[in-house]
Amino acid sequence: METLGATADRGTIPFTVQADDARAVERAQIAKARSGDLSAFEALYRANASRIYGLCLRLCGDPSLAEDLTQEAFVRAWQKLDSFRGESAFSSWLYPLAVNVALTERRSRRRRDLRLVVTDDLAPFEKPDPAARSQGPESQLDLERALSSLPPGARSVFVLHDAYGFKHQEIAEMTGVAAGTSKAQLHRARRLLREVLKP
Amino acid sequence: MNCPDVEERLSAYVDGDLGEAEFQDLELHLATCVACQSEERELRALLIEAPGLAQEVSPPRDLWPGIAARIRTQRRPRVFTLGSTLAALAAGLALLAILTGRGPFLPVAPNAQSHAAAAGEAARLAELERQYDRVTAELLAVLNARRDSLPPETMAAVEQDLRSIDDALGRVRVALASDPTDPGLNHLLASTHQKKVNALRHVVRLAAQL
Repeated sequence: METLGATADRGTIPFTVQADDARAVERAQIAKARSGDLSAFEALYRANASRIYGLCLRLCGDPSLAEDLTQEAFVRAWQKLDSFRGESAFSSWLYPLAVNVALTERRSRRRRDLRLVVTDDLAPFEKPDPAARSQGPESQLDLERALSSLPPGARSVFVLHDAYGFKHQEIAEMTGVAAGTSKAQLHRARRLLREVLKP
Repeated sequence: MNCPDVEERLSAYVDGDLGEAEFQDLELHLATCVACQSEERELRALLIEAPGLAQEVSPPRDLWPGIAARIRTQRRPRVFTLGSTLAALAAGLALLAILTGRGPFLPVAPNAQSHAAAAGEAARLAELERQYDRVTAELLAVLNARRDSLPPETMAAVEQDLRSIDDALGRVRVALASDPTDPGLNHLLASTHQKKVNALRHVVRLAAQL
């Protein structure tokens, strides 16, 4: 039986609770939520909100929009709870759902934005000031800023593949692009990021 | 292999996606090219940093009240099991049998060609249609609850079939409106409804097995 001792980053579950017990608790919460128990669903939200908000934030780069996407993802999860078959952790089921919400929003925003011909804020598209780049702990911030300069498709694939570890086939299923396109987008994203991050 | 070739393949190289020959060529180039070695180092450094982006981030405010407010305005989608659904359907079909005076999915018998008979027939047809509609709605609800377990192409094919059947039902209804006692049209209406029920039953069973 696996203990959570080696995976302390999985939220607030105490070290002494064992993985099977945690899954059993989660299954019980899901069963209650399915029967309409809102407090059980709230517990599922509390256990997964940071994961889903983090993913939405990386995908869209906008904290305020990430809040909306997170809310939408959980409302969608409530509606689709019956399709969760319990073969994976609840969070694994939530991730593709949240990706779908984020990409759907992006597509609809892009349709709206097609009417616009100018943008006022070019900062996200500029390279970071090399003098402002730093070594060490702040390099993560550099990466986050560089990420915002990527085209949306390349950004999504980089986040899903290199940050979250999804395979190209999984990304293809979530985003609706071919696996080959996902590979090409990843190659492009990595090249652009290296260019932006060069000292 | 030259530097542009390496640049083109570096991503696949670090992912282990290159074939043996390309892998060997690229390694040979890397062994002697300082510029490409630097590119490789930068790429590997990027890949070391990337998983840090997957860390959890707490939302700046509690999002639950907004989620709960939206959820409260909706009904929880009903939990369907195949057993409970089939039991409900059986009850519905039994009622259908009583209403039609025969088996629910058998052709409807023609009646006398009188105005009174025509009016009675129209009312019976309306009730028959309501019952069929209720049964198909139940099956559609089960299907919708399980649609994620079916491949998208299967769902697309099912939806196309259902649209064709609905079109056919529409045409039969138009014809029946002018002659509700026509035995051939009555038969066609019942058999078309039956076709829809059968198609839905089949795909619901399929979804339950996946």
